[in-house]
Amino acid sequence: MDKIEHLEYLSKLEFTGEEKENFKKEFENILKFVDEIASLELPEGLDKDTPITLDDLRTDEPQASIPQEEALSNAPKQKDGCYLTPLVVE
Amino acid sequence: MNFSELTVLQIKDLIANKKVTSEEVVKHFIKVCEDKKVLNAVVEIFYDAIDRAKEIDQKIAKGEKIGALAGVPVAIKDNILFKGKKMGCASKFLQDFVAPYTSTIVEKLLKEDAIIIGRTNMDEFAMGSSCENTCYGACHNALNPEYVAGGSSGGSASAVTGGLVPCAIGTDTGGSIRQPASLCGIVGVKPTYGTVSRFGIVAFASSLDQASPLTKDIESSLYVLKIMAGKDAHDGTTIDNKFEKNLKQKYTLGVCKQLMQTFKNASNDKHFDETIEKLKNNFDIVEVDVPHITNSLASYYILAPAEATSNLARFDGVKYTRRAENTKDLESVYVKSRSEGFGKEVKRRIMLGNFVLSSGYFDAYYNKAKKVQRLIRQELKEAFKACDAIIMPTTFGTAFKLGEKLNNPLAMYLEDLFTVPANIAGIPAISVPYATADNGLPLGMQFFADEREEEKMYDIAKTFEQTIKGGAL
Amino acid sequence: MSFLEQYDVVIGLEIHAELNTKTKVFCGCKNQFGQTPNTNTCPVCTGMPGALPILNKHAVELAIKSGLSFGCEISPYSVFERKNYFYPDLSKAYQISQLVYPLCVGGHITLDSGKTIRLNRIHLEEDAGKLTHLGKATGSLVDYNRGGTPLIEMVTEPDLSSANEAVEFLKKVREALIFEEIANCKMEEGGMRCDVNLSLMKKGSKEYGTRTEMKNLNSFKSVQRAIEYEAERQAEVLASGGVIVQETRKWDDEKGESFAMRSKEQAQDYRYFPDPDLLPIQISKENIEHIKSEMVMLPSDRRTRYMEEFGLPEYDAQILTSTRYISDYFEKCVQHFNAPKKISNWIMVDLLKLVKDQEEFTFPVSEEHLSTIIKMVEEKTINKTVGLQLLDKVIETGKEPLALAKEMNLLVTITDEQIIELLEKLKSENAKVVDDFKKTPEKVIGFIVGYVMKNTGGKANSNRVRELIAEKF
Repeated sequence: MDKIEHLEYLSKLEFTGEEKENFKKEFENILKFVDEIASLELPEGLDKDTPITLDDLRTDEPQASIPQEEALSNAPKQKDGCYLTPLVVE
Repeated sequence: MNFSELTVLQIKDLIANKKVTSEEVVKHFIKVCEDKKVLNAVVEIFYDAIDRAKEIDQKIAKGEKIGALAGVPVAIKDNILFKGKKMGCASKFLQDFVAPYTSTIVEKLLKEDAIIIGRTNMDEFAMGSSCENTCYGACHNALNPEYVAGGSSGGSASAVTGGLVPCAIGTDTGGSIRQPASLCGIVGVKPTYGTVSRFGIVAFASSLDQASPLTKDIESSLYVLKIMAGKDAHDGTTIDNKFEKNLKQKYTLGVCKQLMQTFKNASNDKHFDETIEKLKNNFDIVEVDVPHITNSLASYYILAPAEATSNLARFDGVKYTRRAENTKDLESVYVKSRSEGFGKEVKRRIMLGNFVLSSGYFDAYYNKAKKVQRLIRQELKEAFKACDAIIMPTTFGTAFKLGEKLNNPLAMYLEDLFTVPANIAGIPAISVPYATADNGLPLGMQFFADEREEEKMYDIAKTFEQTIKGGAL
Repeated sequence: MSFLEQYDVVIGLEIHAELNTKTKVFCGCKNQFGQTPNTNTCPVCTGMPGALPILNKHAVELAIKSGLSFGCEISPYSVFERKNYFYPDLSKAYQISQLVYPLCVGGHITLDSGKTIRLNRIHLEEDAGKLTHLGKATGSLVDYNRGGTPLIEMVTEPDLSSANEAVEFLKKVREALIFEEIANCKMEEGGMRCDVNLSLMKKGSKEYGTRTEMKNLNSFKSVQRAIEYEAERQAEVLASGGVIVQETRKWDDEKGESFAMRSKEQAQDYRYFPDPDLLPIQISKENIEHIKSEMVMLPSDRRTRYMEEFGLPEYDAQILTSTRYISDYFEKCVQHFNAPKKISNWIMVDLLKLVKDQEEFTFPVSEEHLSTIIKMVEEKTINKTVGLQLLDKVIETGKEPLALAKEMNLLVTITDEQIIELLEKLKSENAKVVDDFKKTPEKVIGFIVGYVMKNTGGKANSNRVRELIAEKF
């Protein structure tokens, strides 16, 4: 259950006690199923994916930005051309 | 003329040859969408499509050069951005969201003069196999409304099979196009990873997502896919898929030993075996070995939630999603907005994703799953040395009834067993209808091909279709 | 007395520097800020749904260049990862950074004492946006103009043992980054900032103590003071029987003290995993050679050269290598006119005083023009005072100095005949001078030169006058 609470924290989600109980059961089932992976014996040499080269990257040339009102068009709250959040405490 | 019975290619030709106007066609489909609103397949009709149809008609009347889809209505899944239109990913969280820019695929369709006619229902954030996890209400299968349309692109599949649109775009992360296509008796494809740009499509699992068309027929599917394909400066994972025509007179089909074993353990369906018998006239059939292919699903249910949990973290009630009321501080804006905004299945996968990524579990789950993925790629590469395509059913059975699997997530996840390997391996796959089961609902047959072998895969699908219809080759 | 005497101070630095690119690291927005909030953004750097990062090639090259400057190994295979955490200045709720496969590994910098400070790594990542705190009632404002600016993060091993060493190290890093035009390192604008990890180790012990981290120090002085303060603080805590808590502390420059930041109720778990939107990159030997070929001699090497080859005093060498621009300017002047010390004097005395902004400037006269003026003075076709007048005029008009001097009639135009005539006149009028010259020439030569100069309005070439005096007397 501690683990579930840690996951809630990481996920920025909250569940009711009942939801958490259900969730825990489902979660255990799913984990049992994906656990087949954990026990597999695998050959060496599976650590990397095929890379791209420097030439595949973007050249450093500016492209147009979007207007402020477009950037903020879906913001639930805004002020002075900025997204507005409750006070961020450091 | 009932446009609802026609294919994309047929409609395109009728319009281009001035037999009908795009306006007539668009108005027809809008009417059908309105009449069949109860299916919950199309969640919003873009009525300005009529104006755009008129413009295309004028272009044609003036004899101007027209695009390859001039005047043809296309619906898009609710996770694809089209500037100025609402886009919601079937989530309460995004109900007020208006796309601030247009996705590459919509740009490409518009460039070919297609008409974007509306957006289709889906499982929230593309997570689900039944199109029941949606804020718009479950989507019904147009063939029988008691049954699900499949998912997550259930709205797109039901809309095409129900004649609401000739073509709808879906996205496929673990089978989200092919499974609903199979359940709705139409053609659905997932191209080689990177063939179609993901720019402007809300990401579920970035390394697996691909968009592509759902259509009635094989030819139209390839036609629209080619329009959507191409390397994109806005998506660094796109490739230059040249659709090379490595076609043959006679193809070898591989039957995967491991998948067939799983299928037979779970299903009594005889259609598959009967069909393989029929195919022996036109194809060479061999058995292929892909030892770890059945681990695809477990690998998928680690990798996809891991990526999703990170992709969905940006939805936080600050920038573009609904903000919960009565919050006391920043943390509660995050927690309350997300807890109210996301549905159950999405939350489940976010939690699962955070679990496999969290400290102490990352190596055992994520890293291991990644290795399994690379191994399966190698094994499939090897298998394609012995065959041109691997043949298998798209799903265990037909569509199931609404609500039937809703409270059993694991059973729902197993729906993806045959479709997931193609996403895990990044290879192309197609589902085509081939039989009708005892409940009167269609069954889909699926083909996997090696990467960038779309042309060959489509050719095989056509040969297959002709064979089972008993037509001459 | 200080409790600190019983301990060795152990310091590791994490240095962030904003790279000198035209655009941001993952989108085409300009790499500049300070404008109206949220006007230098796009779907990518505001983390809009469906937007994808596209890696800036030049940012990668600059990061590699920084690695080459400090003797790092350049990784042939490099991966970008997502560092996941919620914070409003982070638009996607993850920062794209590098963990397992950074671009540069190892490396070192040698202090003047000869002590080597090892680097652990240099990696490339994106900067966050800016928050402005308005207070509890209103909240905080989020501006993403700076979000996505390319940063290198340089991590040292815990090899530093004093504030002085840390500052010397930072100055060396800054100097090299500016010199190679990798970064501007404008510390007051946050262009270079530093996190300090500090712990104490009992003298003679091999066990590290618990460390604290101080974040975002952005001046040498605050680094100096923060380190001194923190070392004392830890020593006092330990002396009073307390324990050091592993925590992040914020340095308050005004109060001259640090305080613990509100600790999170749960330990951070960043859940790093490879960013599926960015494919791994391969850095070839050719890539590295190409970047090397664009590098210049570092300031310390240039200083040595100026002192050994040009015979300049250390003071001159120091000033002339304080920026890449001054150094390059100086070297070009020397190419035009090989008189390094003279050129050095002109630059240090006469040119630098013309510069208002010491951080960013270009001299108002070209290397070629300055060298010409210096040459004229050295060859005595004008004297220094006239030379300075000419410099002003060249700066004002931008004209070529020699042509301008002719135009302004500044050049020495007195002929040998005119000088001889004057000398003969003097001889006939003043016999004593002739006698004195024969006995003690050094005592009267000044008088004779002065006589000629006075009668030519100072336009005679004094060297020539001396030669002619020797001849005629």
